[in-house]
Amino acid sequence: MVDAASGNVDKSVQVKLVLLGEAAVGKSSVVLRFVSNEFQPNKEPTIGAAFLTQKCRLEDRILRYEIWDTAGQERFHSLAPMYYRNAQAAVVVYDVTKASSLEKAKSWVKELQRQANPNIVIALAGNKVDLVQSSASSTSAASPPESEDEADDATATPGETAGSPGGEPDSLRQVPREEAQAYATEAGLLFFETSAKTGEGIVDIFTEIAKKIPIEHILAATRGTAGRPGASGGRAESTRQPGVNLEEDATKGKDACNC
Amino acid sequence: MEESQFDVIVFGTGLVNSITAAALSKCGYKVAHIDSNPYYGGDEASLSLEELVKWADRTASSNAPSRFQRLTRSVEVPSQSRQYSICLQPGVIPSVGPLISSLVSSGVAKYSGFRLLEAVIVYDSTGVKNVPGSKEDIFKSKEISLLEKRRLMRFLTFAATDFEDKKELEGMEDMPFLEFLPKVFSLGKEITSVIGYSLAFCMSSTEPTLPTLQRLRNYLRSGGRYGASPFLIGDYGGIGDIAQGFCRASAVCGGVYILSRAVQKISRLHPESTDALDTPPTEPPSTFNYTVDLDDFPDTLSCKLIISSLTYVPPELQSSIYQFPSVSPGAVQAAVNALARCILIIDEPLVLRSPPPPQEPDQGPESTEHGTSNVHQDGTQVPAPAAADRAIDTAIVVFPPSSVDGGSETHPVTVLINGESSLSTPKGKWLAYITLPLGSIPEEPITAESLLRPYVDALLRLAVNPSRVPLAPLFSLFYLEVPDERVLPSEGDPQASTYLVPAALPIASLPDFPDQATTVAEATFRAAVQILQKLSPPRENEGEEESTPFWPPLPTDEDDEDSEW
Repeated sequence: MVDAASGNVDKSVQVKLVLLGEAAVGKSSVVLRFVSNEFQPNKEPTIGAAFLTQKCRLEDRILRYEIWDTAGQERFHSLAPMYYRNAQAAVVVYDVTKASSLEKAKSWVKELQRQANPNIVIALAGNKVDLVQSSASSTSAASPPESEDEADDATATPGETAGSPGGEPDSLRQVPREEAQAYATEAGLLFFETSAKTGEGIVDIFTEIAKKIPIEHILAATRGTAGRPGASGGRAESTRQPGVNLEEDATKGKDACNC
Repeated sequence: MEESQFDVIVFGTGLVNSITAAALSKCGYKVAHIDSNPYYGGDEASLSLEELVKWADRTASSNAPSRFQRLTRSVEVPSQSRQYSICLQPGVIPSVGPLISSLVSSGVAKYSGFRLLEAVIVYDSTGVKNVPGSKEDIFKSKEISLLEKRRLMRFLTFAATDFEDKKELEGMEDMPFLEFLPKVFSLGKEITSVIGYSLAFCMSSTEPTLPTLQRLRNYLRSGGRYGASPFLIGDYGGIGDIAQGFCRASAVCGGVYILSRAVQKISRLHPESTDALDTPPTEPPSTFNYTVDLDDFPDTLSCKLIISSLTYVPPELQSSIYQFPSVSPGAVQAAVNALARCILIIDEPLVLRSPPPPQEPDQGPESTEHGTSNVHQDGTQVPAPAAADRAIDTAIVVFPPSSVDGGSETHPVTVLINGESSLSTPKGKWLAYITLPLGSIPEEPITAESLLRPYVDALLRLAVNPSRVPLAPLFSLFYLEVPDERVLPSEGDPQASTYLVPAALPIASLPDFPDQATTVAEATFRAAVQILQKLSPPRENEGEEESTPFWPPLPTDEDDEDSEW
């Protein structure tokens, strides 16, 4: 149990980041690329981790992202309030080859503005950009030429078509960059086009979010959990209970019931 | 398995069903979890103020049988609705017990925050007193005579041991606990009342000794695990948030979540399957026993086993259902059959006023000679000598029987105070959950409001600001809660059924409810696994006769190099 006031000596700031977006746009792949620099073609719909953590260094500060995946609960609009709460950042992902996924992303942004912390930093990520840039796009220096062979690897969902084989890659694009950029600017979002497959744009999302997050504010807030400012009874602060980590007993000695 | 095919469909996202769903998903079964409400938690949901008001109005105007009755609320609803997390089932969690074990072993503890309850306070006509929660507190107490201290110590030492075979208890197991204390330990009336209602959380004066002692022992052992208080309070409305956490754990392991959809139809696929064992089936039976159709949902879902709250049971399937018998029949229920409840929002904290300065100055360092185990490591939380009044953010206030004019003479009232520190209210607002156990459902014109009004008034007099007396609450909601005790006419063999209804939760005290629910969930889980194993016998690990653990070991967190935060 760390006394929060003195516990942040390493200057690492915990940031909760939530992922949102239509099924099969590559939410988990984006995180997997960021956290372990991997890409798994044919990834199963998300199963497994409660949340992943990854550090991100920013000048003298270290941000420790706690990344929450939807665990599929968004599928039938059944995301628990628990998911949004205390999130300081959100990455809303859409698929550049699927126009409807941007519409869905817009509705998630609305939902975030309704449900989440008002200061939340939101980034919009147009994923699977590798599918549309091998020949035509002028911005695609990083893209390896063979990427179109495995064109629809980035999605694990059956029935999701990534375009007809042999078609012009650029014709796969259904969301023009300019259109998404304009929407993001208007809504006050960070904007990136990304490819979890090649890694393009992925790290940028997280570093740009890190720059925009009000770190001082978070530090002050964490410090405050032990004695938040302002209870009207003057002494309340000294009696405020800090949070308890259930896995750490106050008394030494391993607890018996963690069987 | 197809996307719409499941091993288990669970109806209702109350705490019991959520824990069960998480355990089954973690065990590898494919689970769909359905709730007709737009929120998680069922009858234990944590709601925003606006949602609570909607819930109350809907419940009040509904003709369907409900455990919540005769609701009355204040007309005005304060602002900042979304900053409230108000739980339909207030509770605190003992630091040792089934729920804590499950929270830790399932990993769900990580999704929520928990903090120690600041105080348990007992009310009498002269004001309120902190209940001594530890031996040091008792030594330091200036209100207990030396003789009483000695007797109290003797009792607490007894209560913390394995007393089941001790001679003090012989033949007394069923005696009311509140008679046992004076009779066997010669404790005075006042101390007996404090122990019975504020340490053991008896809900009536007739609760029998043995189960009460067992509960008390658990609370005594809980003290010191995480700090001085034996009890934890969950952030964001507590129990309802914990139910959400278990649902997320289930989802993370592949559980499919569908909220806000009413059940259109549940159909049984082979109604005769259990009788006709000799006659070979004419065609190979489907492995699925039920299909489920939901409103506004394209697919028909199928499953082998259903686990369902009572409210989701379709009348035509009643006879094929196995309903678990209620957990603790008799004892408590005989004296408590309903609850009068109130949810109050106030904008002044309650204050624990210091008692008048004592005469005897003999209180010194000798108090450390016993019970040193409770000394708190970080030093900050040791209750300060009550030199001044203290504003309280989270606490339980107990009103013993007959402590309030116009109140109950037979049952105690408990009030859970929950403020900003548990992230359940906006700054400067407090929730008070008031609960009065009732021996019977009161006659019709009587409302929860009329029963609880004297306690609301007494409670408001404890608020901090003397210039604002009488303090008016910002919001109040009163209602009666009558547990659904319908017993379905079902067959007695859980093995023969593929439709399980978990045991009805008995009326239980603030610290008892969460553990009772967890115990029921574990029993449901075990029965479900047995049935599922019978339906589709051995999978990969053949011949393994060991029973399935409630929670498989957590994967070690590789990503978590520096997990100290």
